[in-house]
Amino acid sequence: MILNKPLLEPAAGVAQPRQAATGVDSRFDCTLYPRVQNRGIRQPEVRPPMASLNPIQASPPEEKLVVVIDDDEIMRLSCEQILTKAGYRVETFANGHDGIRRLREIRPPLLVVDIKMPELNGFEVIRSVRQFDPDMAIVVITGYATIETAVDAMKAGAYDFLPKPFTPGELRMIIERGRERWRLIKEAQRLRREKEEVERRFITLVSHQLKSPLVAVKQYLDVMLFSLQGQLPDKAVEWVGRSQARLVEMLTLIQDWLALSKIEGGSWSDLAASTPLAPIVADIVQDQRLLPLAASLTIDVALPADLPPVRGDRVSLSMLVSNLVGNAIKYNRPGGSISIASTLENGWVKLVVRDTGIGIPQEYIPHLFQEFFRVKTPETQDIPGTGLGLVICKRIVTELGGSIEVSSEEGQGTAFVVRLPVAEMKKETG
Amino acid sequence: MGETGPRILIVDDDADFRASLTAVLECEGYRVCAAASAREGLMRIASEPPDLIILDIIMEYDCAGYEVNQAVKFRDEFALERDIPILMVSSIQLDPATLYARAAEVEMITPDAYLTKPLDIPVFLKRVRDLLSASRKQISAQGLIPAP
Repeated sequence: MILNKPLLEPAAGVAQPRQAATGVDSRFDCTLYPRVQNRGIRQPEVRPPMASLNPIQASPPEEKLVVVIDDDEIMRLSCEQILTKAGYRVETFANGHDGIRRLREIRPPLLVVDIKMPELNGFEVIRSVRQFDPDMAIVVITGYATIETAVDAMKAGAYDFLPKPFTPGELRMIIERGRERWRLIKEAQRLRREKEEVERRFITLVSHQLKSPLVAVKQYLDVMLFSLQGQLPDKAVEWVGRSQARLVEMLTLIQDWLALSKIEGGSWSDLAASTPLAPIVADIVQDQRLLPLAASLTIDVALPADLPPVRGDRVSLSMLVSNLVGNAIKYNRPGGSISIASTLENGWVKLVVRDTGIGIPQEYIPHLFQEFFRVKTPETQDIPGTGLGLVICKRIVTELGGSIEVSSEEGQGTAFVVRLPVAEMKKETG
Repeated sequence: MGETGPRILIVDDDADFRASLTAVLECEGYRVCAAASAREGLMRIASEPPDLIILDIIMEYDCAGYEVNQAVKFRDEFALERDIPILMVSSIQLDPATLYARAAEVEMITPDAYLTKPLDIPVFLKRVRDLLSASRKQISAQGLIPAP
């Protein structure tokens, strides 16, 4: 039976739907023969599901590859000959359209392009290459080597230029330099990525090690209260409750610290992402409305349906909105209200979170965005907080290129005004 | 339920977390077994397939929980255990689908459900019940066990 088993199990490749993986036959087989006995020989090993949790990296581009785009056949042939002799692999194209199509596929380190071509000229080629590859070393060859064309080519994103006619040695040298520059850029990028990865892992592990003991203790207390309901003396229930509040306080502090370290590591917000604010605000309001503190509050949300998406990813924007709404709830008063409104203002999305809470004394306002600062008044002393929430908000907003301001009147309420840049039309997230 | 209640496997390297969770699940009538590492977890899943897996993420200084999830959901050796629901629990605040939204392999580490530690016990128990009844429905829909 053991030998037959592989035949009975349908091939369960990654692409297979899950139902297909448990065929009727194999289940039936297992009910006849005790599974433990069948599986005795299996020694599953732990294998990482993926090399890293980063988006798939294309295989590294060939380092000694040059693409030559020139409408002049003689020029193409001679470039190819010179560079092939110098150990490069050369692909040539007679016009910009074909060249760009191929460049997009192979992303070579080096491009030699003629300025004066029918259809697409050299400047246009450079501009479209720069949209998908900022690092390619582009050398411009030009028949009329005026200062202006050279400057224009550099402005468009060329790395260097070579006036015609040129010697084989000149071409080789300029290509060799371009390749070295490209290699250094790639090397620097790789080192930066590795450094970020190491930092990210370190932060995750340290925060996990800090949180684990607290989580284990909290869990015991939760289970105790749950399973001994009604059997514990009132005093014990009260003290367990207080212990839990302190644990949550510590856990929140670690969580906030972790968020801050991530933002400082520079790998927090995705500046290329674009995210609509309305669903984020709706989710957060829905969650926080359930908090006991929010029970007596009125929360008004006014976000126009046609508000353009803002720059940034869902995770960091959620953190921003959640901190602001959380504060508006925490520092409110029973029966108070909160309004969350957004408008489009000169290319910025302006988000205003206003509450009718206890307000902030003027002398404290300049310190609100400092680490661990908390307003100390008789009214705030029982409100839990880490003093990091607004610091996190400020960092996120700054990283996204926006601004955050506060205005407050003691005893009347507080308003936070955030301005976020409208996203450039690119990819959408969440 | 006692001897016949659904079987739940807890894979977590924290002995205290296993102990408290075992206590509360046994109180609810489940049969509970536990594994202290990803490797032990996979062996348990293979040798005595449970009805539900509760899976920690960070074990032994590594995100080994993701590997267990990937093994059960995608590797050939676990074809028979493919449908066992996985409830991932971790002190990481974001579920894998959100945290790694941009990673190409994210579906490999996406469990059937995700809860953050410390667990809210009533919420946790409800999620366990829901996952178990959903997987029973799926199995009975396939005609493997008679519908209740």
